[in-house]
Amino acid sequence: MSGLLVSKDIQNREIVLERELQGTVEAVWRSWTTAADLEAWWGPEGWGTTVRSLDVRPGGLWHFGMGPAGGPPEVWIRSIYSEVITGSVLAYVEGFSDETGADLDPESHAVTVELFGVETGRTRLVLRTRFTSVARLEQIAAMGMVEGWSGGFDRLDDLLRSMR
Amino acid sequence: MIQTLSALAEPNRLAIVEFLRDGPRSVTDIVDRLGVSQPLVSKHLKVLSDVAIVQRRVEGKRRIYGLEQARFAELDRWLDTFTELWDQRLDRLQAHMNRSDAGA
Repeated sequence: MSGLLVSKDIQNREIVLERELQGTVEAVWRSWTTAADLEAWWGPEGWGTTVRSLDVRPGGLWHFGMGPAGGPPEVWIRSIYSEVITGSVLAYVEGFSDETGADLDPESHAVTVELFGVETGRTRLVLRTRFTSVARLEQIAAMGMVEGWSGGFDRLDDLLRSMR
Repeated sequence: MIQTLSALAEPNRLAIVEFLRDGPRSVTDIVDRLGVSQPLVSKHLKVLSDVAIVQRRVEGKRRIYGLEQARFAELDRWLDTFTELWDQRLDRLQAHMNRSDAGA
């Protein structure tokens, strides 16, 4: 058991994952913000990651490709950092790209990684993914679909479980 | 998938889906249950039909709506896939940090 906690908030179009890692906040931060480290673990399993750009500051570009180990990247991702607080918060907007780093994704995700030192040498990582575009959220809000809504995703979770 | 989630994000529509969980119902039943106007219920049912969350059949003059199970299985799979991807990625992060410690 990895101890992964999952919560889903449909109002905010957000999935929140939480997990505790063996390692200092500094080590986790370095793993997320150093090209050589990212290439070593990002994956997915059996795939290699090639980091082309890693400019860790607000407005900076993180551009990388992923492909089967030993081959050229098949998928390119580009993220623009929106918030960077060293050792604490790393927020970025992530979308599909190409080798040039072009923005090709109209439905980019907003991702926020937060790190909390919980005890000596351990870190709680909280990863929030807001998986629709701002434009989409505005569109939905404009239609009045979100107004007065709360706790929706827990109900949805129960619903999905009951339908298994 | 986003369309499915958007369609379910509206409280009345989620209430309709929860009601239909127990089995198909007529529009009249849904109107009675939700206590909102028939035109509004029809509007919500159209949104749910458009993204194939519900399917309609006609029995005489009655329109009967039921859930499209495939849609929910798809949603469930999507959420699971997303979660698994990150769980595995964080496994690799942990393994990477363990290696780095050993090498330090």
